[in-house]
Amino acid sequence: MNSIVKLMLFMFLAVFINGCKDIVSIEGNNEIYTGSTYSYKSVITTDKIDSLDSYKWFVTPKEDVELTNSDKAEIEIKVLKEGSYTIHLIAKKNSKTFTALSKINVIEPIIIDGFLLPPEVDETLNNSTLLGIDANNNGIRDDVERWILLDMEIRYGNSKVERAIAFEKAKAYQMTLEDPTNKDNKVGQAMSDAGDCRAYYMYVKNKGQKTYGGEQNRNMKDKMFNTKERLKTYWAYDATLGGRVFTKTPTRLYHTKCSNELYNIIEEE
Amino acid sequence: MKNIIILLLIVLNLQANTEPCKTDLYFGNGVWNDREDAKNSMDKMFDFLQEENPNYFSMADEDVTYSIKYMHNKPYGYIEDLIETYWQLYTSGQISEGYFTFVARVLNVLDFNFDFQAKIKGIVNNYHLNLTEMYDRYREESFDLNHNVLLVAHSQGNLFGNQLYNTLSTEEKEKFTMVSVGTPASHVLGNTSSSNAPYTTLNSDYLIKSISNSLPSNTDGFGHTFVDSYLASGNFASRANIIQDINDAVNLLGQNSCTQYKHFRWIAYMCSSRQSTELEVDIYGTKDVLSSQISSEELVVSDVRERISLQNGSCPLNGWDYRTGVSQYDKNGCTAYTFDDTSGNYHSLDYIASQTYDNGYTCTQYNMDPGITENLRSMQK
Repeated sequence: MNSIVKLMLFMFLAVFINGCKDIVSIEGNNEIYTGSTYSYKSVITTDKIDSLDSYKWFVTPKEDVELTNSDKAEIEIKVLKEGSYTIHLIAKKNSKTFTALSKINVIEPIIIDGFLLPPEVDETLNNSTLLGIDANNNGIRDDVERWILLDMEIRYGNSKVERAIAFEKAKAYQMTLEDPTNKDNKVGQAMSDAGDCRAYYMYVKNKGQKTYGGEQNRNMKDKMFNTKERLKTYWAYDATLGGRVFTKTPTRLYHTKCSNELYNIIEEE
Repeated sequence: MKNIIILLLIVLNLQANTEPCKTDLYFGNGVWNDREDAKNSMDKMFDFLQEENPNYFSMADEDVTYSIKYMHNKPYGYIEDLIETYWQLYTSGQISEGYFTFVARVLNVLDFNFDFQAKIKGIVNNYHLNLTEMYDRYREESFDLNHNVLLVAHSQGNLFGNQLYNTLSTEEKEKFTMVSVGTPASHVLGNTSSSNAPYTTLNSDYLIKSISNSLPSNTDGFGHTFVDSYLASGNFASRANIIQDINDAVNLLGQNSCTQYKHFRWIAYMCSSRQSTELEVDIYGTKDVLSSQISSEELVVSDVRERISLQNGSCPLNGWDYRTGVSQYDKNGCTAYTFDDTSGNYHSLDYIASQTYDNGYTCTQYNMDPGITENLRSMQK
């Protein structure tokens, strides 16, 4: 009798917990690199509750995993060995328990031309917000960063320089989404400087060769502004420049518009 | 014979005192270009100019004898910009009202917009604001600085260029010329003859060919885009035509001369007709020899600025700067009251731009309008 009661109680709890699974979810990358730290956070997916009382996180298998803030809404995870892992979250609100799982694939980092390739991003998640996912927080959206490192056409045979220049441009494009009002023309200046630095590489360092300005720009813009909201925001930024006169930076001064780091990369090659 | 020699000396003297004006070469973009597209076109155009005419468009002279500029044509949307183009064709007399209305209605339906009148009204209002703003910018950035303007216009940029020309003063028209590329217009500025007009349209630019009464094609080639079609490295005929038109325009504008001054001097006024918070200053220029008489110089510009009183004590004037009314310079109810050094010495422009003035009642720190300072600097030898 006692065993039957326990079994029924277990089944009840199992059904109850299972029913509460969709109330919370885990937000973060599904693919990460060994040795790097990544954030994951608990997200409430219903309007029935607006907060949770407590959190308990753990990862299986637990070997080679470093987990911090396991009782907070947001955790940090570092995994030292390749493989498949599962992140578990058990959260409580009053007397109710909610659970969520997220499977992650841990792989060795990939370095291209000295740049770390960001892990593949969840496209739906990435496109669900205006700014998208920038897990390494370097100002470039991860899907764009991957495109620059994996798919972008290399015109002059110097992939490191061409990628570094493209990163600068992608950062400026991302700024148009962060501040489409172009306050104090900071975004406009970043866009202009990135373009001038690229022009330095194209028209001064590779003078006489076929340029790639237009088509690369179009390809990058297609990648950057790949949702209606992003494209609309970009055009809102562009409209702030309407009616203004721009004087071209003299070609002999193009190099002064490169950041020191980028200028050194260009000159070293 | 003596008279001829004197006349010759005068002519030589005039030549010695005048210099060619700086030329601002503008790129006028077509529809659906954002700032980045236009910047790429501008960079590419400069690369092309350097290849084809390295003497005039040398790197060392950029921003010295010429500048490359671009005015961003406000985009209002894909359909709106197309309707705007047809409105421009209609207002220039190139297409009929019926043709415009038909095209605009079709485009409007494609845009799923059913309030036709409101949409057209909005586009027309924006267009006229755009044109006014455009003229103001050209004036501030170039004409007021005594620069020539060479507009290299592509596609819709031509329609703006032609309309802009109509708003210019006679003096400004002499300092303005346009080179047309892929133009939907029936003419280039006042030039109605296609045999004389400086334009290039490719014989397979089907976008332009589809536009009623546009200038006929005159060059081999395919496509409509500025960089990838008209300036394409393999498109020799198009490139040759465009650079020829640009060189002709540069030579034409090079015949203009700009007044250059050796020194500037100032007069400040006491004006009963003006608000007590305003300060009026006239700047005079002298072209060559030193003169102690302001009357022998030319009035270059008047500046009206906010009066900011200096606190306490006497009003500090420099050296021989002079404070008294001299009625011969009075104007418009204003008494000429404070003068630059009357001993024949001249001050630097920076000194004048931040000098202290006295109108008999209030001691004032003058801050010259920065645009005027830049303008005067460009006129200084």
